[in-house]
Amino acid sequence: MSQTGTSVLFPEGVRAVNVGLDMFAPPLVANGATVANLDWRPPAEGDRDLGLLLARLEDDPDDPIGRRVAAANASAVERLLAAQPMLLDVQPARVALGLGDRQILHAGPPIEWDRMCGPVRGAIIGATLFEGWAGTPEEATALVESGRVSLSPCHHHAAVGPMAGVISPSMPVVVVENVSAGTRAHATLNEGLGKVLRFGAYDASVLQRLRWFVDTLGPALSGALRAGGPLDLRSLTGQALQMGDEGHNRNIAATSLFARAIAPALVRTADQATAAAVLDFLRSNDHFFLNLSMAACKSALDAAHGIDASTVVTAMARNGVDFGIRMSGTGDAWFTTPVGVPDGLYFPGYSPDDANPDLGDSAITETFGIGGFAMAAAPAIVRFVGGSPADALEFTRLMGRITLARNPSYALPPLGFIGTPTGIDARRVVDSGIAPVINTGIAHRQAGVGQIGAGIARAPLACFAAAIGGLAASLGIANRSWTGA
Amino acid sequence: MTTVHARVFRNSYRDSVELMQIAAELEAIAGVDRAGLVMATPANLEVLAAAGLLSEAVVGAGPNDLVVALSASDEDVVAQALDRAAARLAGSGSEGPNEAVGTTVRTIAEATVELGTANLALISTPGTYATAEALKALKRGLHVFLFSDNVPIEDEIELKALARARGLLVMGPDCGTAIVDGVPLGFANAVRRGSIGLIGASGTGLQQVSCLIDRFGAGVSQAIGVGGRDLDERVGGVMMLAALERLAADPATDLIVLISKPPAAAVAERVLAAAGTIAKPVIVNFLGGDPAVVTAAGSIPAATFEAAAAIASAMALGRPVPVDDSLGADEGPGADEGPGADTPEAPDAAAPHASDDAADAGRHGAGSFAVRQAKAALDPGQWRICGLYSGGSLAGEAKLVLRASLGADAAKRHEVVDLGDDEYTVGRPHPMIDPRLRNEHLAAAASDPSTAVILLDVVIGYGSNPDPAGALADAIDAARAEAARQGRRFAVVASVCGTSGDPQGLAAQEARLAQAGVILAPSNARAARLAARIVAPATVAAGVRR
Amino acid sequence: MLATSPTRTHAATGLSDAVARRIAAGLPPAARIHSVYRSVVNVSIPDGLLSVAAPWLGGLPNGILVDLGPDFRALGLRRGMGVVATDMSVGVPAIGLEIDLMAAARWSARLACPDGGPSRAADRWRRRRGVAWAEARDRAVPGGLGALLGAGSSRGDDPGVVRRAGASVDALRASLLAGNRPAAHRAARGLIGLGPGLTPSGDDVLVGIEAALRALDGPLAGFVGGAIHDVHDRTTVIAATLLRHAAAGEFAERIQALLAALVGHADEAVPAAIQRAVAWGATSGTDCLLGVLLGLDVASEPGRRAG
Repeated sequence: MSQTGTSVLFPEGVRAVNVGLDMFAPPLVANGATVANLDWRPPAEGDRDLGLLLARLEDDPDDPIGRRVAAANASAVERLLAAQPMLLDVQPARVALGLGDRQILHAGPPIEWDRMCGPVRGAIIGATLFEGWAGTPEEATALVESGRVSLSPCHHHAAVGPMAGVISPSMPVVVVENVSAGTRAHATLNEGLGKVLRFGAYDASVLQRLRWFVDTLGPALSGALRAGGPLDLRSLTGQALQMGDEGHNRNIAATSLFARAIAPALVRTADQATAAAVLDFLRSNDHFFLNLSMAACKSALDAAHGIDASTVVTAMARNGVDFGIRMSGTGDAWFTTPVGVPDGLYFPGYSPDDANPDLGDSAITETFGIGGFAMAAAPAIVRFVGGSPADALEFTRLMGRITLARNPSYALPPLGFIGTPTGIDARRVVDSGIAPVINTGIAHRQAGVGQIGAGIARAPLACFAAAIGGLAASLGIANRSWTGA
Repeated sequence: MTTVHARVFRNSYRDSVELMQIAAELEAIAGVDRAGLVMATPANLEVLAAAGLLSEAVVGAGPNDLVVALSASDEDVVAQALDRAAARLAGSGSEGPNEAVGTTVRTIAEATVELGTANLALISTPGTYATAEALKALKRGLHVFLFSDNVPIEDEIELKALARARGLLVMGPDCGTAIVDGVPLGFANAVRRGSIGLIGASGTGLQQVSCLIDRFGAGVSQAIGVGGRDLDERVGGVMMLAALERLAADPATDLIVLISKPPAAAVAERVLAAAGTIAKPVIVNFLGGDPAVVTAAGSIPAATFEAAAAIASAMALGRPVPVDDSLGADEGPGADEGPGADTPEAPDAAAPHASDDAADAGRHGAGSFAVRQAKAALDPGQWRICGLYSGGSLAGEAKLVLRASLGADAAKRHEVVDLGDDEYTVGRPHPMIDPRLRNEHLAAAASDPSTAVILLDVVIGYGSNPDPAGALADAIDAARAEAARQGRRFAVVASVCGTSGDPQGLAAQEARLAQAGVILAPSNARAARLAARIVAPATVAAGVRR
Repeated sequence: MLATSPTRTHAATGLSDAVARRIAAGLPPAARIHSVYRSVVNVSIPDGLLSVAAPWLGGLPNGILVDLGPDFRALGLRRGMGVVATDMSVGVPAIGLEIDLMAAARWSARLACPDGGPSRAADRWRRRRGVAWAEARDRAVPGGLGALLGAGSSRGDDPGVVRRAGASVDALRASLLAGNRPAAHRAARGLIGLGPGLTPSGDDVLVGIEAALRALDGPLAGFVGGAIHDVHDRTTVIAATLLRHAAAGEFAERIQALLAALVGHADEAVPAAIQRAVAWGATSGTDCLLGVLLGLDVASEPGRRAG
């Protein structure tokens, strides 16, 4: 009789993974082996070539490529977990971003005016009017169509914007620095709900609010921050996650914490009327912190971007037409695919037929492991899709299967204080077919109507597959060409 | 008091078979009187009304909504049944599986985390995807058992090169069987553990040798399949060589058996050279190959699976090693009474085969009495052996034995088909799993007036059909009845490849076949030889006595 | 620095004339995925459904045939996803799926005239109708209206549905033979939406009768057109679509093949054709076959031209 323990093949006993037919597992178990049965499906949605490339990109200390990818990802994760975003100041985009005349930024991957969706077009017209480059919406449209307004993605200028994400030179933006890496990121100030530029509205009330941002809110916050010193957004977000926020669609706790933190310096530096107006605005806008959260995530992710051969996703963004991602190891390339309408709950009187396809840079929060990835912290969110609190925990666990680390700074009480799943590995997404989950607001397809619902979107797998193909091509192992730029 | 209730599922589209199944399930719940699942068209609502199944819950439902209507003894039962219906309707349907909430692991990467340390991957995905899964497994340091077929040979070469570099085994592709550390993989048998190490590039060959070793009272340390193409010139026998190294170093293995079709000459040379350097005896069964080459290289040739098992068992048990004349010309009636004639004295298992007693003629024993009886039943026009095989290697062995027993020219008149070949299995399950394909061929062979003997293999063990003998026996009964109606009788000769520990039970399977009048042989080689003797002219059979 | 992720493009192998016309006219912006099955994806358009089906299903009057893999449900399609079309392709942008129509064979869903003309075909049918009915009886699958073929009731049949369908079929046969169009419409409306499943059995029977009447130039051929003005309120959108095509004289390839075999020249083709017919769908094949047999009988009734 042969003896376990001296076996030349399996000294620790047979511990098998069963990939394929379930019927093969029981005889192993009956004979003392340990078996994990896979719920297997073809990786990369059945694209054989891509599935093979994926296998060649697996971590492997004995293979030059596997070694490079593993090291690159370890480094990316290290930088993500080390990130320490601090809110430094609020400054006009002209100053903070160096935006020039007739330059406008928008959400998502690059897109030409002709292809833009209603809300983004509306917001661009609004910004053109706001800057005084045109007197009427018609003139504004003609000006943009003439090509004399430069349009580019926020992401290309160290910035992010929710929904339409439009930033023009006069608008005040928050200045966030990830002090562990020196990366800076910016975002506009959140306007609240109702008729707002980010949903494409540009009537007098919208432009008036923006002017108040320029004249009052921006300078007041700037003064308070300069007097009170930088604000640690990592610890603020960490606290908010323990108070029922997830940092994307629910920001009431973080907004309150922010107001509490800024109030003393504000009343010291601003006149009484201004301080009252600013605090009143913060009180009435549950989402104020969203833009800070986005800038914080962007500053952290940019530190992990551009690491050769890394498969860590560093941006997910939508422009209402395309969904796009960037991956650390594929440089400035965007991998895009048409974007769908989120699955969600609609405000009375609206239906999916009214919805704009998914929009905004706010998926940067999920990219950094909060938002949909931290759903366990905010079970209320799953009601948008008819789910239960248990589903919320499950969403977070599921995202843990496509990420490389847990962020100890963002502990989740319902999951025993383990951290949020951080560092989306495009390989895991393509291999498992588990798409990143994104909590999102739903915009009306017509400019200016505003938010008509909220829900949950899944990032399209095709973007991640293309990114893997792009990386493989750049490493010289692809056997067919993959679009990537 | 009967109560009626209904629930509406908006925009739900199921086919009627699914709806019928659900309705039947609901009606099976105690207390449910009637259940109806229909689209809420006006016509269907009228039917529900007529059946007394209409309730106010249906108001407002339209033709694209599904109604589940019930009458039941009380409210609790209604609630239970409606929940069941909802669960069934949620479980499948137009939107595919609900993957949002999935706790089962989907990838090798996740499974290795779950297992802590994993050391083996069994891969049976469609061949298109198998290479990627095998690569992932190897990169994580797992041995691979690759059941999938249709893996391109370039992929096989790459996988095996990688495995070689990592000190891992790739068993396959198209590898049906292995037994590692006593654990059966794929289609394998419950074989006694012992000191004989097997390496096979042939699936049913490996099964047959391991089962016969069990029958002869010896046991197996490891049975490593390497896939049918391993000894192809392009692959170069790389896994057979790797497995040979492993077993050479294995303290639990005292001797080694190599099983394959004849490899390319260069590969044979390399494998035999490696075998020659090992301090343990190596028995080489290259089916149809030249024994002299093996002897010259310092190993022991065996011409059939049975001979390989017999020689290895005798050596392992310290008995005199038999001379391999398994492909010698037939010695005529009476010379081949049982395994004792050319195999080591097999203890327990051999007993039922040795008898030439008339009372036992239906079981093994298959000696002259059974042959005489079978011959006597044949008409002059019945002369053909029709071999219907589920195992490819077993079919190959049968052809070889027929050629040796009847002469090459005479053997050509007979027919041995491998029904597991792609040619027959396109769009149909393998005959080792589903007996229908072979049963169809059996009926056809039986109605051919020239058929004298139907020769069969019955492979049992893990993965095989739960009762192959039962399925065959019924088909044989039917075929005999049909032939009898046409005034003919024919013989059926079979061997069961299996062990007493197999889930189907060797003895039970043999008994079932015996009951159907099948002449049983203890091995496939021997079954083929019996078949040859039934059709051989008496004078010839007597004349070639050596 | 824009890059577009690769779109998965599949080449369609077949396309009905009706669909080609529909697509050439442009799909409306509201075209959306309606339902997804293993071998069929239905797209809802304002006047019905467009079916994207696996090639082995054969031509459908509302169909595009394309191989999208062994299980269409694995593609990630969801109900409500938008569908866009050009005259050369149909696509679902949300998952990057594109179906190229350039190389698809155009196929006419219109019934061909039987060989030798309707009256010779009717003669052939009279000769073999006994064999065909017997074969159909033996092959009927349970759950639909197989009982009306004389197969006897099986487990799974709904007796209420069978009874009502039987009454309507009798009334329809009588009114067709009598040439009484209003009565035929009334009887037909009793069948619309009757029975379980995606295409209720009654609708399948009507499609079968209409096809047979048209093939043999039978009485009141085209009667279905007068019974379906409110069909979208009376049956599922899938069944309604197929009824509208039937009213326009357009039928699935399998129905055409069945008719061709039943009234063709080869007696020996009949059993196989019936066997194939009942294999269609769950109960649809059996129900449609019942309609075809009924329709052929009505159209070849000896005295009917006098009536």
